[in-house]
Amino acid sequence: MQITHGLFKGITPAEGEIRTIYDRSGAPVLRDGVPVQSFGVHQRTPYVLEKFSPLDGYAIEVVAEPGAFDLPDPDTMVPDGNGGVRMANQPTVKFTARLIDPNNRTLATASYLKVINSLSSHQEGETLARGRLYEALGLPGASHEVEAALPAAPKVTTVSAVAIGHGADRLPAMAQGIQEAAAPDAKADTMAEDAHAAPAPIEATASAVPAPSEVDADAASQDVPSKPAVATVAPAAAAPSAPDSDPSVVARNGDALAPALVRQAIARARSKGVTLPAQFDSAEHLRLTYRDLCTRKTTPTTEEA
Amino acid sequence: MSAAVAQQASVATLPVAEDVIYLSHSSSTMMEKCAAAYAYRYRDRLQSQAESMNLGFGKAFDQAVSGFLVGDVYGHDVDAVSVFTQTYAEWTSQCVVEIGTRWKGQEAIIETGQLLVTRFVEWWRDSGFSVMLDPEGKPIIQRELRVRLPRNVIYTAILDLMVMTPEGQVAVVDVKTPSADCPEGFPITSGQLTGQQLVVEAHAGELGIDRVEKLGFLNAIKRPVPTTKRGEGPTIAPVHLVDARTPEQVEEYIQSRLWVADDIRRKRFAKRSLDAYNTPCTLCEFRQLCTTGSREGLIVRPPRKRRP
Repeated sequence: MQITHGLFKGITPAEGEIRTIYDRSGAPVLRDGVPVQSFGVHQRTPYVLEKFSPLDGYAIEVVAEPGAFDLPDPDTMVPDGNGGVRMANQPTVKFTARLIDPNNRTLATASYLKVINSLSSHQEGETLARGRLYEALGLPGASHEVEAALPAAPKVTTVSAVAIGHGADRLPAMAQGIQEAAAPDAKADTMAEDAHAAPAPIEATASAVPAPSEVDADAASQDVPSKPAVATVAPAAAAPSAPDSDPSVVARNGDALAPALVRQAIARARSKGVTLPAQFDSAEHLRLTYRDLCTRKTTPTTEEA
Repeated sequence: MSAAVAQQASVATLPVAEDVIYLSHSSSTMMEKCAAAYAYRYRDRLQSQAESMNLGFGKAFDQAVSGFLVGDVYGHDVDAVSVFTQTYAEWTSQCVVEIGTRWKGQEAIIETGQLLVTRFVEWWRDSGFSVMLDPEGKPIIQRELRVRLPRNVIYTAILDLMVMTPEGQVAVVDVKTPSADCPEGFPITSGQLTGQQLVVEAHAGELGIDRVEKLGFLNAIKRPVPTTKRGEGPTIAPVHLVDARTPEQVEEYIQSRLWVADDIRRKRFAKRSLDAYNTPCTLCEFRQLCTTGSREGLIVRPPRKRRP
């Protein structure tokens, strides 16, 4: 945010002088996909006083007068007489801020109509009127009001769409029923496994698929599926559990393993009746293992390690 | 200072809020296709009393496929063909159904659906795909996701299916039951797929993925079962997954939805006939209302309850 024109041209608020503003739901307020930055009244005051110093005879005067009408107050709800609630109608005060030069001429004015609903409403109204006066002088209070200073092109996808809540299942009734019926099984399955050792999510007794280093190059790329070394058999109908409770799973060579891929491999291995190696040699080993599980046509027969 | 006052103080610094606009792929595309039709359907909540057979077929296929896939994940055998048959029969018993002339009757439709579901199951088993599981181990099938876009626009998408390919790539697949495959290259430009990527990536943490890598349609083509040896009948079209959209392409899509929302806020509900060769009016359920003002054959849907 930089002021590019006018009396305050060249001013760039320091990092501590601006802040992101949020709406009532707590989401950042966005303009053109970019969070709006607020340059507060108190932060702008020193810049105004530098330009229009009281020591040079300038003055800012704020005058309050009763508002001409009441306004509904979204922060004060009252009974509506029909068992519901409505916004209370509250009195208002009009605050007018003026910049006056040493010759007592008014250089700029701005006003703000404030709902009075607390002890501090009056001072808030004065502050807000001063903020509007600063804007009238060319010192805006939010980044989106500085059109020329907004970056033209770069936009960041991650701030353009903000997730709302969690996803909701829209599964048809029958599928939902299967899922709900299976969920306790999954939990029980996980608990049973936990009770019988397996400290790491992919801990097991033997390697089902040799690491790339254990097979020749051709086999690594094509033939891996046909040669499971040893496999202990998990229940074929086991429901998937939450296998990636430890997302910091790493391979022997230090590769970080994608939690989603590990999760899929575990589920796939269970449905095929295969136990995965206790630790993958590398990310590539995991990838080849997963591909093998996906392309394997038949479920292997039970083999004990 | 009370909480109420604190809120008041912070709210006072905010820009004036614009009315919230709820968009989905269907609603925003309808607005683009014909704004008058959008107003009839989403503002006035009108819809045709008679429902197209395509809708019931699609619902029954969804039920069958979802049931089969969820069963597959949890190791349950699900008779997807029976699910289709039962769901479609129930649907037809509850509404007035419009059937196109290519169908000889309900039996032909059910026969097609049963064969299509059978072919889907075969296709799935050969595909090498696996249904993506979220960090809780739940399959990501028929999952509704919502995002807040700039300018108070809320965009909702329901994911049919997320899969992992044998190569370990995360893909969003939209399941359709059209009467013909989509044109070549359509998945590259489809706004619906872009919208799905958009919501999935916003919920990436919850879904347990880093990003979407592939997008595509699963087109289950509902052709009548041929009575002779000629003709292919219902089939699963080859699934061509394309690379996910770039951040710039997603931004472009977001911008286009914001323009749609602006048009809705400004009540720009003009009729859009286009030209005779590509007019949307031919298949429009509001054609009679538009041309004669008659609401015959239309009903008003009850108000929608949105989840908080």
